[in-house]
Amino acid sequence: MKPDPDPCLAARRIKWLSRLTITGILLVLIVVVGRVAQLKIAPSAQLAGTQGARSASSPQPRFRGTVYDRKGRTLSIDKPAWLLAVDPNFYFEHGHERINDQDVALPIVRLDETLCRLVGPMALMQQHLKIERAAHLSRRLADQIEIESDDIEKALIESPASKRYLVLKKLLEDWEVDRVRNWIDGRNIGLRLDRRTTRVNYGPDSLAMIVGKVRNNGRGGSGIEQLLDGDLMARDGMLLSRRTAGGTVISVPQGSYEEGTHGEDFQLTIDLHIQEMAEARLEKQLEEFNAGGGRCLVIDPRNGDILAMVDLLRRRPDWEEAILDDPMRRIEPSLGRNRNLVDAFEPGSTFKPFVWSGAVQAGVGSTRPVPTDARGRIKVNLGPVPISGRRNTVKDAGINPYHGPLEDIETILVRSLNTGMVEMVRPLSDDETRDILVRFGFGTRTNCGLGGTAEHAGQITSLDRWSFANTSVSVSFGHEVSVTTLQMTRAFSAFCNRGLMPQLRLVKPSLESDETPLLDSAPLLMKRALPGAIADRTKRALGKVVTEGTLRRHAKSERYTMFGKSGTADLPRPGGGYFKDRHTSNVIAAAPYDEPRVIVICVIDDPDKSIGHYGGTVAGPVVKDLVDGILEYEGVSPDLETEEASDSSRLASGTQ
Amino acid sequence: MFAKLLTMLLALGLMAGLLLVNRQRMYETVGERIRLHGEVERLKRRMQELKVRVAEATEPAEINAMISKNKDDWKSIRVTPERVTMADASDEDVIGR
Repeated sequence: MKPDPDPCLAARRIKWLSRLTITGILLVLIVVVGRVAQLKIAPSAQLAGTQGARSASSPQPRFRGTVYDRKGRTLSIDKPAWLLAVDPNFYFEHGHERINDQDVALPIVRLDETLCRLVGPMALMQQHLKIERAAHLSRRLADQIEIESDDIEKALIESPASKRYLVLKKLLEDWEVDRVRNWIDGRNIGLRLDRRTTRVNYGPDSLAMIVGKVRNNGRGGSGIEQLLDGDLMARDGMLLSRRTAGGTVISVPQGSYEEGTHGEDFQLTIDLHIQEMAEARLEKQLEEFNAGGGRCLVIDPRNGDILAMVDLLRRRPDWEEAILDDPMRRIEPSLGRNRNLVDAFEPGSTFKPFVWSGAVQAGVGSTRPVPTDARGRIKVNLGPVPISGRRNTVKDAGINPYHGPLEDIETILVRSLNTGMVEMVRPLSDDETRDILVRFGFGTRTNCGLGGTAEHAGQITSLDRWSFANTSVSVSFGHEVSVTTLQMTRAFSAFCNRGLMPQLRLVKPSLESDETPLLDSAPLLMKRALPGAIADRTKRALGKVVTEGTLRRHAKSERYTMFGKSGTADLPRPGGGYFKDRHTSNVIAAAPYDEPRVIVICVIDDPDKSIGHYGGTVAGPVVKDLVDGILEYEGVSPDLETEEASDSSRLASGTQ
Repeated sequence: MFAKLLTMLLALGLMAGLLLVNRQRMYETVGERIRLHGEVERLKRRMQELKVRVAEATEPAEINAMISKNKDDWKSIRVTPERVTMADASDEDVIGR
């Protein structure tokens, strides 16, 4: 049996063990604290560069709002893209070697370097090397992506030595990005791919004038892009984070994240398809009549939506052009001057319905009778009418030979008689005649949402300079007045809407309005120009213009009922006065007759008179084709029976 | 005494360890949040790219090319025109807001 250990010895052993342990722990703690202090206070040179958290800022790019057309097709959008750039300095110093290391080396370059040291002037030899290296990079890049190697080579050679960032290609396709990445393969040769956003526009050139352009600084520079810039513009966000030297995020301090906002999207009332259709048709007509330019505007009379707005200019060799040129549109279509907005024209007979309806409303032909013969027929169209105080007599156009008195005042419109219009305004005071124009909105901007103060308000003579002989008479057949296509369509819509004119608009109202829910197809505002009954009476007369009058031959649709009016005015001379043998031909019409869905106006400037110059002949076919095309596209059933339509309806009903 | 000391040391060690684990988890969470944020940003960018592709594919020229390629006889859908009733319903000179 073993004796029990000495209790005192055991206690001493425990005591020593405890002291040893405590001493050990203290030593370890002292070492740890010392090491921490050393790392904090005096780190080694190797650690010093990587120690501590770093702040890193990451931009959060946001996109500018998208612009859509009436049916949701994109007109203008921010496209995420890549840009290829090079650090020329780095490439010429080091990067070129890394290409050669991987691929076939350029012995010529190395040989030249040797020669350079031995023989030639250093500057010359360095330039030679630069050329060799620039050519090498441009050739290799051209093997990978679609790029003009000559341009790249030139840009590289001409880049100053201090330049550290040279853009090689602004917009790379996805496959090009992949090819460049594969080719670089992680090597640092001075090339870099940077994220960027580019604004892409769709649609024809004539649409660019409406949608406009975004400048390099991301701000709208023209058109809708400029007009709605504040809402379309995006606000980039920013993320500030604290990271380790290795890049691991440690924290995102409070308030250091700014989300940013995408720009607001907008929908225009323009229809891309109708715009293309109108541009193509107008262009064809300008060619056919060798005209100097043309304007075409299409609106929906129910709500004032502008569906298409085309303006074309055509320069003719060996022709003394009288139409103001617009060189900017040849440089960049979006910077062009949209003449639908900023230029007014003299409408000629197209203006007659407005004065005629206003005169009828004032009682002309009823309470204020016009001169009649013994049989009660209206005494007009008997020959040139002399007006006291007027320079020239009022004559009817050559296509309206003098036949004698008329049965009713509607015939004045149907046959477009200048002599008849004189009798329509003769009973009216100057104030009354001028007021007709004002009520139809002539002389005031349409404020359609584009152009702002640049929009032309047209011109009507002030009352103090107004006279019956030279103003009322001239205005009655569309002279001594200038209007825009926008004003004409707005005023003409009164005949479609029983006297009401809608506020024209180019931007659809937002459906997210806090106010009363608004249907995007509803008009914003309707203003009365005429009583409904007078508007309907004018519409009936204008219907006869298409079936019996000046639009019968060239502008009558075979599928849809229409009503409209043509006009031919003398072309103004740039220095004042008018050309006697050069004209502005225009037609305005709406269809279908019962429920008009579309108003089309076409103005053709300075057509070749040897081919044709009357409004109905020159502009009529454009209006007719557009009415047919647009209503078909809109799904409006033809309201005129044609053989083809009858066949279709018979097939649909299953009868033979 | 030794047991107390050991217990205290173990407790302190455990607390320190837990704090370290907690700190590591916090870093991982922040890292994950940043990764997810980056993913959301990437998806937003991708969505914009897809919008651009839709825009390119729905250009009238593209659609016309597709129609002519397939030789389909496309016709627009017939719609019943909506009647403009505002002018009929009111004799006011200005309608709207």
